[in-house]
Amino acid sequence: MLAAGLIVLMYLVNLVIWPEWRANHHFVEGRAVVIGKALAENRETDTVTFRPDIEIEHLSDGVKHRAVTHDITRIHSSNRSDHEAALEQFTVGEEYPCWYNPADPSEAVLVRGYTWWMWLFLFLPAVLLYIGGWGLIASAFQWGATMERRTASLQQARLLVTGNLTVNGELYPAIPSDDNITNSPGTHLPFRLPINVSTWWKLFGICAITLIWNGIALVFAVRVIIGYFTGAADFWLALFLIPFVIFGVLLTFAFVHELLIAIGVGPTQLEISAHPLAPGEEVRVWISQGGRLTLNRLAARLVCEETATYRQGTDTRTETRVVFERLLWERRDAQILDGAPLETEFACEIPTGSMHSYKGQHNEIHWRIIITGNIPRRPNFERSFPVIVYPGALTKLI
Amino acid sequence: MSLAMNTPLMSMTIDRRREAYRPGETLTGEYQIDVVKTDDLKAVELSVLWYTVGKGDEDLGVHYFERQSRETSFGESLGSWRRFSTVLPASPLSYDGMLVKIRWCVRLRVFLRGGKDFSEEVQFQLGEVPRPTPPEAAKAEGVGSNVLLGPE
Repeated sequence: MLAAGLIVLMYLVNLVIWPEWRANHHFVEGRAVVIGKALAENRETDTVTFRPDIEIEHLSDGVKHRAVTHDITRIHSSNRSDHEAALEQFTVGEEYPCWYNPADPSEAVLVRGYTWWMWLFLFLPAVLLYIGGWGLIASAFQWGATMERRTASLQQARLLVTGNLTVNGELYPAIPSDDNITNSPGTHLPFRLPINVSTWWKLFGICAITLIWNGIALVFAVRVIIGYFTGAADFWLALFLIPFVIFGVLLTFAFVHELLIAIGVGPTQLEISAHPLAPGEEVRVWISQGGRLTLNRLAARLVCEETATYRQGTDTRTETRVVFERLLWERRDAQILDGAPLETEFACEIPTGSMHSYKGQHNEIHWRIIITGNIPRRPNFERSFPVIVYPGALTKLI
Repeated sequence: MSLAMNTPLMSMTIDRRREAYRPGETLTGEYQIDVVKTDDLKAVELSVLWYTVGKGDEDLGVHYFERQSRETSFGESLGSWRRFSTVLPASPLSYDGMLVKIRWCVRLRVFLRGGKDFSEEVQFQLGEVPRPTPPEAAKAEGVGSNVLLGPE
C-alpha cells in the first residue's frame, strides 16, 4: 500500500502539481501573439479526448519563440465544450499576456492557476500512504517481537486509549458487548432484542445478487441465442454458461422464497426480562408473531453455536456447529389473524455450567433464540435473535 | 562451548496446583533459568495467556506479560527463582468445544544473543465448563446430557 501510494503520488506530482507550481512561481510574464488555434483530439483509447492547442509567438531577450500551448498540464479530457470555450477566449492575430520558462522560452502558457479538481485525487495516495505508513511503522516497532509481546502491546495501547483500569482493559475479555442488544426497551419486558438479519435487508441482498448475476448471465445467454438463430452458434460458450444459468435459477428460487416469507409472514418481535444472560439464571421471554397466517407449528429454540474461521490456501472458510439446542416453547396448528398477533411469554434458562459467549478474531461461540415457523404450502421461516451469555455463578469473580 | 551449554534449562511451577482455577483468583508461581550465562541471554518473557486450538485459526489473548532484557537488567541472580503473580480474569474460560477450544497457560520464553529462542509452557484450567455434547449424541443418549432437544 505504501508503494502504491508513493507511485500514485509521484504520478500526480509529475503530471500536475510540479508543472503548475513552476508555471505559477518560476515563469516570467511576457506578451504573445496568437497565430493559430485548434481543438486537438486524442484517439489512442476507445474514448476520444480533447484539449485546446493555441500556437503563439512571443519575444524573449529580443528572440522570437514559438509554442503550441494553453495551460501547463496539457491534459486531454472528454469534455469537448469546455475546451471549445477555452479556444473561444483567444482570437488569431490578437496579443495576450503569456508566461514562459526563462531557462527554455519555448515552454510558455497563456493560462496559469491550479487545477483544483485534480488535487482531490491526492486523497487516494493520501489514504494509501496513511494505511501503508502505519503498517510499516507498526511492523518496524514489532519487528522480531513474539506474538505474546505484540498482543500485550496492543492491549496496553487499548488500555491507554479507553482509560479502563481493569486487569487488561476489559472486565470480561473476549465476550462481545451487549450494547446493541440492550439499547431498545421493550413494551412487555425490559429489552426488545434486535433480529440477527432483518428480513427486508436479507431480501434486498438476495435481490441485488440475483439481479446482478442473472443480468450478466443474460448478456451471454442472449449472445448464444442470437448466434443459434443466425447460424453462428457458439457451442463452447453455451456449455460454459450452463452452470452459471443453473446458479442463476437457484438464486431466483431463493429470492422468491425470501419474498414469500417477507410478504406472507408478519413481523416477529422478541423481548427479554434481563440481559446479559448467565448460566443457571432464568429469564422471561415474550414473543409476538404478526401477519395473517395459519401455522402448522411455531416454535422458539435456544441454540448455542461454535463458529470457526480458517484459511485454506487462499480461501477463507467458516464452519459452524450447533453444540446446544433446547426447545423453549411451541404451538401447533395456530391461526394468526390480521391485527391480532400471536403473543406468548415463557421461561428461558441457560443451563448451569454452559460456556459463555465468546468472540475472537477467528472463532466465536454465540447464543441465539430462534423462532421457526412452519406454514402449510409455503416455505418455512426462521428468525434469529442473538443473546449474550456471561460466565455464570459457578465462575463468577470471587 | 558445547550445544548443551547453549540450551537454557527452564523450570516453572504454579503454586498450589490443582484441577481448575476460578476467575478472580490469584495465580502465583515461580520460574528459573539455568545453565546459560547471563551474557548469553538477550531477553526473558513470561506471559499468562489464552489461545484457541481447533478448526479455526488461532486467537490469542495475553492477560499478564513481563519482559526482562539486557536493557532492563536481569539482576545478578539469574539462576534464582523469580516469582510472578496475577489475578485471573472473568473470561474467557477454558473450554473444550467441538470446533473451538480455549486453553490457558503460563508461557516462558528465553531469547539468546545468537537469535535462538526457547519456550516452555504450563497449562492450567480457568473455570469449570463441561465439554458440550453434540445435539445428535444428546438425542441418542436422552436425558443426562447438557443438550436437551424438544420434540420436532
